[in-house]
Amino acid sequence: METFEGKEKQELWRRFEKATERLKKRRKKSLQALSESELMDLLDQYQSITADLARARSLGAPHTIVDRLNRMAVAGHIILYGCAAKTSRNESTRSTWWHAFARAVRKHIWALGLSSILFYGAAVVVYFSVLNNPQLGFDLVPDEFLHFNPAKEDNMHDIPSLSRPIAASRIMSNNIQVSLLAFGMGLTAGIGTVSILIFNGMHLGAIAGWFAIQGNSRALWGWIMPHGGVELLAISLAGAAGFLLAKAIYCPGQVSRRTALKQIGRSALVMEVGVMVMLVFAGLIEGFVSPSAIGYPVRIAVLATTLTIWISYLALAGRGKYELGTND
Amino acid sequence: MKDSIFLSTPEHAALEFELAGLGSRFLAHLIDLLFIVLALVGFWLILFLGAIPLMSWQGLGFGSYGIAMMILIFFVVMWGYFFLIEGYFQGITPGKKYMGLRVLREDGLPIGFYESAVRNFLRAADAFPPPTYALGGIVMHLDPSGKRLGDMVAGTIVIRETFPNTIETRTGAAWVARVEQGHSRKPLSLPGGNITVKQLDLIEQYLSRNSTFPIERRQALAQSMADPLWKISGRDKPEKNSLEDILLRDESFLQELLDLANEQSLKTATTRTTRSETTFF
Repeated sequence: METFEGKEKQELWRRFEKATERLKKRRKKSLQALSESELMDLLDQYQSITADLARARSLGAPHTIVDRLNRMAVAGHIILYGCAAKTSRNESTRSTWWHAFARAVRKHIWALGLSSILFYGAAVVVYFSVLNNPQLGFDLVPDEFLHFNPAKEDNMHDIPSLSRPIAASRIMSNNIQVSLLAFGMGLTAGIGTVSILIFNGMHLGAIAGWFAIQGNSRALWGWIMPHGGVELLAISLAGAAGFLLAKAIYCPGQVSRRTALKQIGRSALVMEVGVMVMLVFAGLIEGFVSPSAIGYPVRIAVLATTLTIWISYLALAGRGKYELGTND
Repeated sequence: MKDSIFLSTPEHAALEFELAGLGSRFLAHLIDLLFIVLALVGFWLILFLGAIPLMSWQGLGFGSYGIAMMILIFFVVMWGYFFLIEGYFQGITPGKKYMGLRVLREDGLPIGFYESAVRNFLRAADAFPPPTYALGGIVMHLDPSGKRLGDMVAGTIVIRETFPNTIETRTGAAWVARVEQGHSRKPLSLPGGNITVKQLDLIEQYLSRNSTFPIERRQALAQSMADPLWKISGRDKPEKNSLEDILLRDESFLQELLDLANEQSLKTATTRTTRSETTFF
């Protein structure tokens, strides 16, 4: 052994750096492209780099050396473990994503119950308040509905078919935005979610009460029915997703609040994504079907069909073999 | 919030990550907002240009479908920009790239679409009251690893990715190799005298950090270290004129001395091992 030992290590560092640089560029399938011996080499190099890092740090090497080794170790860590994490994650989520929404709703049905009580409760209370005390209408009902003259007996708005796409896309994006707000505000310990639900419920109740006083109830419900079933269910579910996060803050159980939030995060997100899908459907109906000239019975039929489909999906999808042992 | 955090890998190596501060994250966000506006304008332009042939072909106006598309594009860009870009590019957006930041999972691995969706769909809470990001900012400041609310649920951290490559592989590897062999450095004996261990350590320290100094300072330091050693080494100092040449001469001289010292102390160590191997028991 005549050669200077540091040279071997130098060589190893250089090779490892070159390999990680190369693999970083082909980030999609970096490790699959390697042959078995190349992979084993990489692993060996990585292990000695991490050993070098630990040694350098504990023996008080100059900061530059530690930095350098740390960077190499991080690059190796990302390449070696990132690949493993990616494959396992994809397999577990891809097959059950569609079922996961229904399962999450069923598992956390209390959250749906709570947000429904708040939303519909506020609506009913305000509805009867306005009926008993019509002056309230001037405070609670938005200006554009105060002197509203419904287009038809069966239909509040008669949007011309040309501008229906605009209505649909506006309604969709607005509703999804509200649902994202109700979801995110769960992190304010649920306070924001509660206020969004109550506020929207009051809004609905006030308009319904006002129209009842004016004798336009039929037009209002005729308008709401085709899309309303799904839309109102979706808004309650968005609130429920927010309450899942709030629950992790109020009663985290055996783990820390931080861990509880992380654990519930996946279910809450699945719910919110499901809500967005529901709102796209509802928005299409609200833009194209609700303002059309169809009669009252057809409107009831649309309501019944859409609600049956969504409720049976939520009640049945993913039951059975996946139900056990999943933690959403 | 701390400046950096340590993550423990399965190999029990502690990886250190420098955490991104409030300021750089805020700036990155501003840059991203600019990109959002650009993307919006870009997509709308494409929409208009794409609609022109349709309009002339069918005799239709830009019409309600066009406006509906504009509204949808607006919505998708506003909410999808961070989600899609961060998810696809593993935690990097243009703003973060510019500021040298990256979103990382807590276990040090790159993020995917799940983490990206959680941390970005929860922006509503962090931005409260909109658009100030006051809540997120306060939480980030109080959290030891600088997480905003979305980061907590997603299990992500934001790190600074770029630090300059300050050390030569040669000096670094030599240091670790020497320590690994478990022997300490010995004074280097040369024709004109000895170079002490302290001096050698100083040379090593200097060579491991020299690239961080401005060039004039670097040259002065190298010269002040090298000048007394030329005589001890018994070699002639070649005359150079320019600053760079003098620096190069002194640094390569110092490196040579260090290599020599390393080689010498290693040789004694290896001879010892060889002997014990040949004598069997």
